[in-house]
Amino acid sequence: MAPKKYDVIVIGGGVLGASVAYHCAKDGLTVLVLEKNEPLCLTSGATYAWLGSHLKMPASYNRLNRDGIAMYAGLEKELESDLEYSEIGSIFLMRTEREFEEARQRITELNAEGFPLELLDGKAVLRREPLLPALYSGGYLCPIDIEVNPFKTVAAYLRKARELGAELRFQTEVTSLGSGGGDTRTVVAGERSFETRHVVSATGIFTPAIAAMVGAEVPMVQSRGQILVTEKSEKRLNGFVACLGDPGRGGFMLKQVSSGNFLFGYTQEPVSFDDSVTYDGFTSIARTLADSVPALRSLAILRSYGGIRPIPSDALPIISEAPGQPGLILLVMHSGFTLSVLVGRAVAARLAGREDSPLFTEFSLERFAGQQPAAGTASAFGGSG
Amino acid sequence: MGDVREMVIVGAGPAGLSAAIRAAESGASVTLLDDNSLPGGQIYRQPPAAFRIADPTALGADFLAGKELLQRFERVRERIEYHPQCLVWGVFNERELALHDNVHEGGRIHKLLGKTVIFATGAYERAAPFPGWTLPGVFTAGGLQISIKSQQILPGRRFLISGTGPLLLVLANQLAKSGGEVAALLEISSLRSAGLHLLRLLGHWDFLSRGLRYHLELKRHGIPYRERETVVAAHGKGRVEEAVVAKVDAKWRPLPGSERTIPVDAIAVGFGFLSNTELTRLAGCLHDFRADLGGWVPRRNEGLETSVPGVFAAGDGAGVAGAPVARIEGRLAAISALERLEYKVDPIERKTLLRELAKLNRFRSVMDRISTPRPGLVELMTPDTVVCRCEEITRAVIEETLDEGFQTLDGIKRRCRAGMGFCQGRICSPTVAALAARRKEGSVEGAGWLNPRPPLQPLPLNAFSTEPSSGPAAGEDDTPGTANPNAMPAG
Repeated sequence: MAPKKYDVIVIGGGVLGASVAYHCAKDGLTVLVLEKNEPLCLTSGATYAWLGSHLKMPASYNRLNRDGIAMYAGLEKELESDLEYSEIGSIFLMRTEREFEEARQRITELNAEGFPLELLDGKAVLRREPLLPALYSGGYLCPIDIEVNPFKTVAAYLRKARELGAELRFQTEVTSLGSGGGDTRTVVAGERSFETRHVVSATGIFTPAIAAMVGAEVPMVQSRGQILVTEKSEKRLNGFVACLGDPGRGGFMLKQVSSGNFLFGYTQEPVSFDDSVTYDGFTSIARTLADSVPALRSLAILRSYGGIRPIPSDALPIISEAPGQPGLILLVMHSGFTLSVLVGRAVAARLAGREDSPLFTEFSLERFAGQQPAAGTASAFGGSG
Repeated sequence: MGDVREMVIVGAGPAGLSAAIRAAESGASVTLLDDNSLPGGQIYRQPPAAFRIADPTALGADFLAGKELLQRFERVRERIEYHPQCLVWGVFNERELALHDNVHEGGRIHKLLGKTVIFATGAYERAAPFPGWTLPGVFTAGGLQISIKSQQILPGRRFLISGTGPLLLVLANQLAKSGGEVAALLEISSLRSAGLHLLRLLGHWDFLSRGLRYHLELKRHGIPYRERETVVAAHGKGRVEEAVVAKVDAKWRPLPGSERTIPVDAIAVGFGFLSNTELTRLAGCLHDFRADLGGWVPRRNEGLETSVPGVFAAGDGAGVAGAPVARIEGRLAAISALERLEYKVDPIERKTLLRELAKLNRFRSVMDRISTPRPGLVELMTPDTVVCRCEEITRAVIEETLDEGFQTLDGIKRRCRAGMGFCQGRICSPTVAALAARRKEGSVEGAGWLNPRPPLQPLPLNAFSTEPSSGPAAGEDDTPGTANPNAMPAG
């Protein structure tokens, strides 16, 4: 008997892999997901899950994120799952008049692009988030930002994918991608071989290692973020609150998840794989929050965690066929949650032969061709000046 | 750089105190950190001054042994930098300890780097979920003992004691002496199950005679003692009103039809102890799974040094073995650390300690054989029995998560929140691991462990505030950088 041949092998059980698996299965393709550990064990399990629409550059990336967010609207119904989806919006706080004036300018530009941002004076900030101290000179509201529970989202994609016939194998690490000759590729994982027509790598920070199996290079700069979690509390926050910048200089992000815990952070450190929390990271975040939102000081910090952001070296998504490797798609981006529906649909449409999305051209790896591998990591770290 | 110390000892129980005393005797500068207000740990816990009692023998022989150690500690105390009420909430870079000092007075957050560190963190009680175990009136045996010791209050009138090990005997007699009625003491295992290994106990006359004394005392108090029986459920409206008990087989599985009901208003459950290894795990030490020693324990060499140079582990926190072993291990770890710090130590001393340890370990291996958990223990739960108390996750939810293919404690936690609450999974993770092992017919260690995450105990955000009533920190010329906004932590 000939071995089973899959239409698609998805490598990685994070949000992108799970979404691709679901959307491909929905398109009638036979799918196998190979996850080397367990779903949510890395970035997708450590994300702040703030689906933000307008802080990227260039404008086209922002538009992509906005479209990605809009596609979440019907997802709970489609997946028949509670994802804790909520259109909560974000406010961004300004500490000084100067920041406020700078924001005014940026908002005018983004309004022209169709982003419904709204400037708030200090009083309006307090009306929206009475928890905050009356010390901010103002802020602005981005009403289209949303929240989902990252754990539930990944699990729901995977469950639905399985219902639609996808096979899931955890604790199964891919060690070889074979060669891409003909229309069959042999993937070796967990000491077994699997035949497939297509492979989709959604392996986050390990993408360069997967690409290297076929001699491809994926230039990335990674960044560690640390987040603290408080005990549960009654609902005291209406949406995301951010004060941009390094925690050592008063920057923070705050959200209250549906279980009642507050999540706050974050750091941006040039660390590629070690997702440990550090003493300095922990204490600088805690100090900033205690000083910035005194109303929360009575809460206890329950735990902390770190995560590594998988960021291509030019900070734009990679949605691309590997060079010279027809049938092998590489996906890696920082905004995996924001874009999971959009990218999942695009990949499924392409592999099912329905539609070849322009994303594969716009975010192709070819843009790096002829470049030297990114030297250093400086370009992708904002916030610390 | 934080402050540097020559030797930092975490925990002021039998192991930590023994280590501190021994190191101070050599003239080393010792820093002793402990979360309690008074030295002694759990086993040598001293009643607060207001509750000093007339008859200390009511608290058991271990308490008297501890008294001698505490007196020796008092004699060297002024040479030791002793931090009571100090919580070690994290370990960074192997030997850098994050502290919350002076917990009861608001606290101070800082860190200490130990050139050598001895973790003597003790053990905590294994939870054994059964239907009704979360009802008010169900206690852990050790927790109940502590409340007798420290508050002199009995939280019930009629008690059932169920579980395994000598602590139950001690507790039963303490309860009876303090005026409680003990309806029965159920030992789930049986001495017979140790078979010929019991012969190894010959020579340990002090332990044997103490055991005998406990049993005679039970008789005198008229407390029924039954082997191969256990509590299987607790019932009551709002609190315990009755316990259902049953006979069990050698695998600790209840025998159908053997159930009967005992009216009680309190149940003390003690199925042994687990090593407190969060700090050694955060320090990056290698650990091995040893069911007989209480689960994951740090790997140590003969001198009790872990796989991380300069980091030592002693006492129950490195394998549950009781106070006598802990006292010797504390001294052994201290002399190993002293040698690392280039103090002179007489090699005879090491040899003597190792010989004493070997002798005690023979005894301990027999007791372990009797009390190591058997499969029946996790089978008492029904689907709606809560496993993770902090997040109220039932057995059924955990089984669904296992159905989805999750096998590791960390994965299961992310998927269904079991272990995500206040206790960081200390209570539920052994049970979750046992359920996972049962499903895959695999081993309990296959589920791994929950990665400990700082803070190991809840830390008040207040302790971090730098200005009592400050607002935003930035000044006029302190604009946050905007070099590349794409690195923001969006999803």
